[in-house]
Amino acid sequence: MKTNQLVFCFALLFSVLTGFLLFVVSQRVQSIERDIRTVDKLVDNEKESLRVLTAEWYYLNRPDRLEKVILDAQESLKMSKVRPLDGSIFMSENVLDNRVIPHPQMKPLYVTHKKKETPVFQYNKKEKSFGDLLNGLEMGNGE
Amino acid sequence: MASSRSLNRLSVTIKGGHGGSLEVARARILMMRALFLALYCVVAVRLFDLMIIQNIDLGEGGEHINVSHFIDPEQDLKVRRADIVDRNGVLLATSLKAASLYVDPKYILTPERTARALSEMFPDLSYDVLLKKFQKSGRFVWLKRGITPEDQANILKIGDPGLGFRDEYKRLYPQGTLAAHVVGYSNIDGQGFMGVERSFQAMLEKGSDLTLRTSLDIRFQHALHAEIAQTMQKFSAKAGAGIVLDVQTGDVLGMVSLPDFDPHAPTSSPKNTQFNRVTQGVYELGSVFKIFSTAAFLETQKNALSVTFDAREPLKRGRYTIRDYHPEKRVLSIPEIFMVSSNIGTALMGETIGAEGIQSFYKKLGLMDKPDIAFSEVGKPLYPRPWRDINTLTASYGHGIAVSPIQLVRAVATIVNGGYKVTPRFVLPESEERGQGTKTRLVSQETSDVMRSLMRLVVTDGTAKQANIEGYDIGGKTGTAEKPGKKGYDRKKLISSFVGVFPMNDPQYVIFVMLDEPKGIPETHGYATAGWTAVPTFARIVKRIISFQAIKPQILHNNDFSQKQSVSNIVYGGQE
Repeated sequence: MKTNQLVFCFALLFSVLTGFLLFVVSQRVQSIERDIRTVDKLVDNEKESLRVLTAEWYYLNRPDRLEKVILDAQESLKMSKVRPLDGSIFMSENVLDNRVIPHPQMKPLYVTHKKKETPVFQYNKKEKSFGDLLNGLEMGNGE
Repeated sequence: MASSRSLNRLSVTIKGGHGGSLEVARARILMMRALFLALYCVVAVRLFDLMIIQNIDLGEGGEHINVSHFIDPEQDLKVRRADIVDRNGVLLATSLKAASLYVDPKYILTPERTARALSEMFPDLSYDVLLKKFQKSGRFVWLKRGITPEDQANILKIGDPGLGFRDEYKRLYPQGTLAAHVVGYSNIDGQGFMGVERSFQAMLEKGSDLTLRTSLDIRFQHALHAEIAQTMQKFSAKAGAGIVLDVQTGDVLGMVSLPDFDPHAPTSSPKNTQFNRVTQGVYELGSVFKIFSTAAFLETQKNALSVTFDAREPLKRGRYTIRDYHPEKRVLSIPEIFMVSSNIGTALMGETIGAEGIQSFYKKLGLMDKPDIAFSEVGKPLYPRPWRDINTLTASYGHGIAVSPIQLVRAVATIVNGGYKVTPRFVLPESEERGQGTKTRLVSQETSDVMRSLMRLVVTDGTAKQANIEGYDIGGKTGTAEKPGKKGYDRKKLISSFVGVFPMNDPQYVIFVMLDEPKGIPETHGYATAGWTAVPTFARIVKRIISFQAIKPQILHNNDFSQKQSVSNIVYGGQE
């Protein structure tokens, strides 16, 4: 009799606990499903908002509107109307001089010989090279 | 008290055989109490969750009314129509969700108050019509479709349970009227009525996962639209049209027909604004047709460039007399005929080719048949049936035969691109490399080369000098045609057009500009011919294209196309 009562009590307890657990699980599932629906709806709303914003972006960037905005702000922004390049500003390569541009001549940073009359590199001082013009100041004359 | 008494009674201990039964009963009652208590607790927790916790979540937006909670959940929302974009992905048409208002007359509580409130909110909904709708026997009546969220919130404030909302997709065209004739429009039920919307209805209604990429470039479209509209206004023209076509692929980069309409409210514009002058309209385009008759002459005659024709006197054939607009009154070579746009010379060329030759060449270029393009609004060319001898002469300079501008640019593209067939297209394939696929030759390379030189000549020395932009090799042909009236051709009603190609050394674009009935102004000395109207418009369009496409100018000394092709040799036999 005692055993039967114990079994009954355990069975009852087990069923109550199981029922409670099932209830909790069911509630959780429903809650998660609700969350998913909410998130899905939020995602849809965000997507819809993105579509609206995209449409608005292209609406505001209509070429005619941009042109008008630029023209209105032309004076204050110091902007000029875009025009194609005039072909006449370009010259043919035939017009260019065929002279060979001399290579820049570099001088040593320092000289071991202190004799002024014997420079390490010989060059014509009268005709300064392109390199001298560019590098003369930085390189010094070795003195 | 009664409960406590009964419990007290249960606490009585019975000795003997029945004592065990009482204990069992007591235990069972206790258990039942515990069970019910637990159940009540669960219900209480659940109620707390639903009423307090979840209610807080719903009210998080403060005073803001989340209108999406009031959308009918039972509705069957249609598939969102696919977006339409230009070749660079610029949005041309999209579908946005918008609520539509309906009424369930069974649940309307205060019809008069609701009708008054709605008619004040929407002036297009009259009070009496609303009242009538509220008294209908059905359960669903549309009141207003595609309303804004703000209006929706205001309607909710009326608080009548008979009013309801359903989400629908509303078609939006962010570029407005700019590409109205190409994109077309569709209604709220997703039915395309014009342009790409109609031509690709089956594809668009499949859904939003797809995006239809058109061949259009919105920058080209704007250049065409702005310049043609400006010229129309300047010369008080009745209408205008223009198209830019890629000569290699046939891509329609821009297509404008003016006046145009608002695709959001197509019925609010006059019906004729929906007429597409580029694809639907067929016109006698006049001298631009000399491109084809001259090409036909070059194709069919030997040593064609050395032939000359006498243009000293008007040409008389039967009861017809053919005159030149600017008579040269001398013998002209073929390039000279083309350059000065001599009707007499071209008619004589046509006569030499013969009726069959002209017709078969025009047919080969697609000028005699309805164009086989994937576009819903397409016009059929008009030409005389039966074809008489005089028709050969008039058709050679563009009279007596009416074609649509899209047919014309297609044929010009074929002439200048080396002689290959071009089919205009409005939608780009998923993936394609330029120059892919087999090419069908319609015109010889030699004829194509000579025609490009001749078209360049028209711009440098002929009737379209205003189209000459230094550094850019531009070629073309003007056309000024009188419109047919009740008593023959009306000299005061003109169709002025220009078809230009650039750069001529490696053609990329063919651009056509047409003005319907432009009026002369003092600035043009009263002239409304193509050279004064369509040609400067073309030049401005080209300048815009050069700017946004960053096309480099040719270095004149080395690459001047006209020098390279020895135009002076062609025209003057080497002696200038």
